[in-house]
Amino acid sequence: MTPPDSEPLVTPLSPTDVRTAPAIAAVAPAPAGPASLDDVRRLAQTLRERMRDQVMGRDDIIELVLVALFADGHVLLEDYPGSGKTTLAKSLGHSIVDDLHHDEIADFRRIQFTPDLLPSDVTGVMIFDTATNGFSFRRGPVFAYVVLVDEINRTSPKVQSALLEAMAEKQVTVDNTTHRLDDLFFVLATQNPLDSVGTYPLPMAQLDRFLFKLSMKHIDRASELEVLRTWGTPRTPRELPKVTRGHVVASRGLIRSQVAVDERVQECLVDIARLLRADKRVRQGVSTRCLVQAIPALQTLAVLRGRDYVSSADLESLAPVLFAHRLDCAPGVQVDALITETLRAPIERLSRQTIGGA
Amino acid sequence: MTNSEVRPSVAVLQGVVLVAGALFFLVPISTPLGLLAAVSGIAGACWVTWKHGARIRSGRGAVVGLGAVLLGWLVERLFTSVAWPWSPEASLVLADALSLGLIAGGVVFTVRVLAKKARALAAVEFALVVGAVAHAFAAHRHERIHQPRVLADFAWTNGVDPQTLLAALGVVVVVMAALLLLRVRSASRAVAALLIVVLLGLLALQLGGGRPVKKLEDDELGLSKDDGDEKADAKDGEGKGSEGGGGKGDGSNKDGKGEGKGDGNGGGSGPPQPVAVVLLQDELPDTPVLYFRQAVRSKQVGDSLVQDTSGQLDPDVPVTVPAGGTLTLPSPQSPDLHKPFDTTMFLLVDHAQLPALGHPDQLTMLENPDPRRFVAAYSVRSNLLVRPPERLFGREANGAGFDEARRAAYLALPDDPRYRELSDRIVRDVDPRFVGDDVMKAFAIKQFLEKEGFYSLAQKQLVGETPTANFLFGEMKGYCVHFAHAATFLFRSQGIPARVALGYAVQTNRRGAGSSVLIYGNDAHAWPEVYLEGVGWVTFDIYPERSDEPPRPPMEQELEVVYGELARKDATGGRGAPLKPLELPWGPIALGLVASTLVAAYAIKLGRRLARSSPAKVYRAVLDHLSDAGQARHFGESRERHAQRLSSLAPSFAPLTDAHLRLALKGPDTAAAQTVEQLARATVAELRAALPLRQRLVAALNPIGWWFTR
Repeated sequence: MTPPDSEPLVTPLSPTDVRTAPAIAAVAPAPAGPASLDDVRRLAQTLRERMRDQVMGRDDIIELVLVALFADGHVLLEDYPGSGKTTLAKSLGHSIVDDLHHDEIADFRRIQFTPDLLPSDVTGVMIFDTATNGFSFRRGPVFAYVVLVDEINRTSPKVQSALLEAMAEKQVTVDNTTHRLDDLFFVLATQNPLDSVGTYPLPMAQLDRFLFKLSMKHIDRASELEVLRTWGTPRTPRELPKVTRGHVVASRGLIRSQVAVDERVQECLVDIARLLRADKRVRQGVSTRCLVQAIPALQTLAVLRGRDYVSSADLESLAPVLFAHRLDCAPGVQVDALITETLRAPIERLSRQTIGGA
Repeated sequence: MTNSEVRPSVAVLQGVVLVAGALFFLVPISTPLGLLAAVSGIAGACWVTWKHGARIRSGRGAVVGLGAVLLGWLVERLFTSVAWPWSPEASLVLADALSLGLIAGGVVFTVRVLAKKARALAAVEFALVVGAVAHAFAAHRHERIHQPRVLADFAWTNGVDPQTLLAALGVVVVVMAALLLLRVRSASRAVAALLIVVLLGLLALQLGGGRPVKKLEDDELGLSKDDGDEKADAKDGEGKGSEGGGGKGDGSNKDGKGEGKGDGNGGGSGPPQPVAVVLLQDELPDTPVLYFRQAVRSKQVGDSLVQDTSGQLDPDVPVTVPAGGTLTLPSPQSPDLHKPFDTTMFLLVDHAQLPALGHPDQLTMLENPDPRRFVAAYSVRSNLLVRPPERLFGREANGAGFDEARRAAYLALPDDPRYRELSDRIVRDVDPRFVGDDVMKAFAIKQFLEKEGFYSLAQKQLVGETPTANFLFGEMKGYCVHFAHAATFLFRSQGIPARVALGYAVQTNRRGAGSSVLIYGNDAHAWPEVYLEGVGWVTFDIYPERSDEPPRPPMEQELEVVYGELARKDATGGRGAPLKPLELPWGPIALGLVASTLVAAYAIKLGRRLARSSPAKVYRAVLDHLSDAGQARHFGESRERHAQRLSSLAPSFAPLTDAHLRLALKGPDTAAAQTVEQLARATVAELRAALPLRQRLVAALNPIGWWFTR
């Protein structure tokens, strides 16, 4: 069994990075919890600053991870070893404090998926307690707010399914007993796009459970230099405010209820999905579940961008990460180009409708 | 954005096919500059549709394409019907180039855009190419496979049945068009498919026709080679034509003695050369022969007739070439019995006097449409007798209408009593009921000559002191000049004023269905004319019943068509009374169309500017401002992205867009509506400040900026 918090691939950056320090105090979260979308935005800003403090040159990924967090979805990161994904997940997990004081639920857990892993290594196991003379449930690493699943395609399908059940239902069943996971349960899974020998690639049906699949490109030159410069320097812990679990869960509800999704935007979303399914280069199109999950993601992105309505720009930004991994395309088709091309007509229609055009 | 579907090589191949189709269609009817413009237009349209195909919406693209076609048409009308400060030639060339470029580009753009929209619509493109090439061979319908001759000549010289060559061409054309239709992704595969189908076609020809297929692999090359041949042929023909004309010209010169003028060159060396093209401006009357009179001989000198050089005797015959403008002749023809008829003549060979149909009373020189081919062009108003001479019995022919000098000249005879004796004998035999009728006398003389005379070109010239007498009182073997002189003297001996007319007699049954007539050198003819009181001069041609001449070889009708087409290229060549009512004031119409379109466009522009009834309309007005300045949103671009793109130009536009979208996608909000108003004003002000004066002026004048607002 892999220790839940094993050594990360990239050592966390020293906390002495002071680039953004002056801005932090100004965005401290309201202690009473989010009451408006502005509060949510401040909350997100706090998390963003904390993560940026640890991970450099990944602002776009951080943004999308935050969207997934507030949209109650999970993220699949496809990237190369040593690109800072553990650091990213850890910085997120450690930014959220447990205000319920569960003993058994950690802020952050990391599971390294290996071929010999068993489902119980993920979900938990019934053990005999000599004190009570009976079996009691020992919670596995999925009982955490933020779970980093490393190399998800290296383990056998049965372990994958166990995790995916947990992701979809937010519960695990061991010995006919169902155990609820925390409401905040958020999975960041990773897989290596190249090194595919001896792996069990996730089938389309299971990929569908991830809200986003994000590909991390190598960071830019300046950021990489910054990483080298700050490497190994001892960091003094900064006074960074933390976000409580309750705030995040409450924010989710607030976003769902307060961000307007116009009927024409929904039409646009459905039109895109239908066009993608109808395209002859696509063997399998996107599912309805994907569209259902897309709505909160769009709402969240709108909030993060300072709006209280979903607009075509949100659709434009999220469509590639929402749809790319759910499409089964003919060989040789550039999925991103296909999606960009398909978006044009529905977005054109939506844009025209706003000035009264057809 | 590059359309990833079509590779550059395939796009180039498709463009080449389109250009080839257009060239097939345009080469016979366009100037080199026009061709160049058309090719550039097509290339441009192909490039735009290939490069930006994904961004062009088919509906709008089709409208733009058809708009270009309309514009091309208008430009041509505008250039050709309005007087411009530059020369008319420059106008014509400009009009040709501009209109052809626009029309070809527009048509290709439209079909390409439509073809991208739906595969079924690619059939339009297919049909266009096939149609363009088929048009070039349209003359072959009704199995007239010898047209165009260049192709047929090429085929015959290479031992190929032209039908085979044409069928092979058809295969090539269909394959070329199919290439467009299939929209193959790889050029090499397209070429391979093309070759395979061509080979299959050749195999089918071999098996099916069993004809020798020689050098057929050259057929594609042969096309271009033939074009060259055609030009060379044309030049040759021209050269020969002038030579022949030189010879003929001598014969018809004023100082000629008349001996050289005869019934063509018989079965002599080489085929007859065309000397003039006649465009008929009206339906031809039902007559077997068209007489084009060039000169008359009415002055008796010894035993023959010569042209009167004093200008007194025959004022109705044009002697001089009118130096520009119109020459009106005093016509002795009765208007009751004659019908005016308009023709346009294009001389291929120089003539001392202008031949004209029937009895002309008006000649107008025209601008020569093609000085390399034609010597002169002029339009003629002729008088044609509406009644056959047989129905003119009872008319008097005694020269009473002429003054004494002219009457004497028209009745002058050689000093030889045999003429009178012979004519008296002839008229004695007429039906007693018609005794004394001048027309009957003339007919009797005509009949006598036709019956007794023997037509022969072997009789080279009027020889001796008294050639006419030698002919008439000898063997009566001769050709038209002899007969005409003899008849004239016989008429005169009976007191009937008569003269010899020289010119061309063209048999109408030889003519094709077209409205053009080609006059050949061997149509040259001489015939007598008599003067009937109250009618005018009437042609009394003699057709000898016996002849040792072989029948005339059939003339080439296609040459007639070709020359007719060449002559018609002249804008004034189509000038004629019946066509006048169809001439519309195209210049004003084109200007009016352009002006009304402009007014409508400005009205829409202003209306949209002033519409403030809803925040969406206010926002649209700002978008119109931006479109005028060429900053419209691209297709498929989101509003935010558009605003971001213009953030440096007008910083208020981004918040304006946000406010607008909030209203549109969130719901009504009074505060936001006011924000939109304020930001709209701010954006327009920023835009004004950001644009240089010149661009602002252009934006203000741009009539169709709103059309690009999305």
